[in-house]
Amino acid sequence: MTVTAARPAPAADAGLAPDAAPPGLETSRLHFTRAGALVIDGVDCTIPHGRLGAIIGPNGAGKSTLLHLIAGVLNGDGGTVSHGGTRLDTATRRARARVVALAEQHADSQLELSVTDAVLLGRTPHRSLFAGPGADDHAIAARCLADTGAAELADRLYRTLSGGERQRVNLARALAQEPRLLLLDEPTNHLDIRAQLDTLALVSRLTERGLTAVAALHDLNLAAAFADHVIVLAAGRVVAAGAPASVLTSELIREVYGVHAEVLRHPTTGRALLAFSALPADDSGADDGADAAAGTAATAARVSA
Amino acid sequence: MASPAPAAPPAETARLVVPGAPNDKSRSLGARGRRPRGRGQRGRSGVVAAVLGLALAASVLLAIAIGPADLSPAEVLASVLHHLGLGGLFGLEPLSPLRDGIVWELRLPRVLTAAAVGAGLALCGTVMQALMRNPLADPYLLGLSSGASLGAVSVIVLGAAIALPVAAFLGALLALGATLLLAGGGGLSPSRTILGGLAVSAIFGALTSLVIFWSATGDSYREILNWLLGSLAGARWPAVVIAGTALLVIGLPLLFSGTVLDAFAFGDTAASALGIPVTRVRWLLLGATALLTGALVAVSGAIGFVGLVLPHAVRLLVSRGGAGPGHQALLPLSALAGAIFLVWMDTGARTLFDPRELPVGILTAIVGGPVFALIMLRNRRVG
Repeated sequence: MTVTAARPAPAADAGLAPDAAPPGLETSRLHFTRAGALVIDGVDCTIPHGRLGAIIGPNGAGKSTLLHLIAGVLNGDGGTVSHGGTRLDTATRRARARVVALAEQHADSQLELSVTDAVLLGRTPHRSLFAGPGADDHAIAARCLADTGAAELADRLYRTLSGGERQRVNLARALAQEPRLLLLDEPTNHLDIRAQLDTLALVSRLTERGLTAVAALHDLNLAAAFADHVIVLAAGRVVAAGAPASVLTSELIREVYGVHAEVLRHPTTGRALLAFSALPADDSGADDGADAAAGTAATAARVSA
Repeated sequence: MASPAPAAPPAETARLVVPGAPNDKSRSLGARGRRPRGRGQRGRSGVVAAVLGLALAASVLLAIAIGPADLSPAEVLASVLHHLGLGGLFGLEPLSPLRDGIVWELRLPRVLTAAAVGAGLALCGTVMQALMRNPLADPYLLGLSSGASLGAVSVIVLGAAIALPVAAFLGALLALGATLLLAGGGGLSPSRTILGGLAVSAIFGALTSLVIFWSATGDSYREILNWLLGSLAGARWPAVVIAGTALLVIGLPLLFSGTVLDAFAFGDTAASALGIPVTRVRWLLLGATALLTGALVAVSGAIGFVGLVLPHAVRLLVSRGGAGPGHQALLPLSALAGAIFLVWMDTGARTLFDPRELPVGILTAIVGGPVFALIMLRNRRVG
């Protein structure tokens, strides 16, 4: 599968010269055990301030868990999380929610909520628990809906929205928290290609205003096209991290995903573009990627079986 | 910009999502697509609260007057004012001792108990539905009421009536724990929770019946019915004190949990990411509902469906273009509506087949059962 990578290539040093900027997200020796199994195993990762970081890795690598640990939704069994030089893991839950927002992969409500009410929930950590939302909160909710291109949905019922509209509203809810660190769990899931590109372009614009964003992504081409910094997780460990061009190599993808990837150059944006094919049965490596598309579907079942 | 795609205004994509297309996750249920007209939700809730408050006061006066003694609401008011020491102020004639006794010793405490129990059960239902994200959650369906009945009946048998509310609370807590355990701990699926509640209700209901049957000296069948279906026939001032105190001490603080309950709209993870200490809040609030249910069941038996029906009725009443009110409005409105509802249900229970008493739970089930079915049909996603 190939995706038209849309974002122009960043400056060559993107993600490599954080010295001038304040520190962004930093985790140190983060680990987490679930049912006796180590799900996150000593993760050290750094996303520079005001950058879009992508967490990639196969199913079960711990991407969502890592985001949940950073958000404080799960409590780790050890390690630290900080943003902008401030420790988050020792902060109160409410103080943390003023800095970090999490846009979940699946967000659903059985209540008959209006879209505005759903976005106003994002104001919860900023307002008194005993008063209703004020005029400020309404103004911020309206602005966040406008930012995500969902202003005209404001009076709709959340339950009547399409998948793409919901993703926008969920993003608006996270932005209404006025976070300095935005975590996105599969923000492009269930979106058509245009909505995928729009969503990541929006997040990428937000990072230009000083927001640090971290997105767990399945689609490596989206990561290659939009991320400033890529972190590769496998079995709960960081196996590589850095600028997309240096991380997304044929060797790494074979090692982590067990498939062959041809790394091409996008003709218009100049960013990395990956074409995948299944590894041949003898795992001998270098084959040509020309018949990749045809071969992938045919061998996928065999590989996974 | 090399490619136009990401530069296009995102608003256009929102329109590109075609309803019914594979990426359209909208549900046809409740997807009426109507747009709420304007705001003013809070103003509307305020008006509804005022109307319900007046309706409750009127209901109490009227309900006391209804019955065999042919009392008028004016007489009821006169009796109440005299007892409050305000009779002279309005130049009212005192009632004859017999009629005054009917008002002050029998009907007023019964009606006040009904109001307190109704308000409390409706509050419990609202809180449980929000915390469990389950539109069918209610103290009766989840077995809390049966557990409380068993606790209450057990201490009555043991002759320790002083400990009645405490035992009922412990019973409710035990039942809640058992239901949650059966439902599977963390990710509470609504239907598993209801099934767990069903099992727990059956067991605790049967044990309650056994204890009564084993110990009863008089009409054990009536006793069993009163505990299992609920009855306010025996409610006198001590019942008002128990139910009223529970409502003030536990119910009143619950009214302030609205913002926290709202944060659960998208589930535990979302609530936690909004800064809510989910686990602590859940146990605190569920513990409070068990405590409140225990105190209420101790004076009324297990009256069903009040906690289930009222929050939904209020949502319909206050909804604008289909969007329901937030919990800050829903909690007090449900409590008021629950009080009015149970006052009239109990009035029906004691007058419909006069001089025989109907257990009030039969009437609440006649209203509540169909509502339960309706919610199930409307909300097929509960699964």
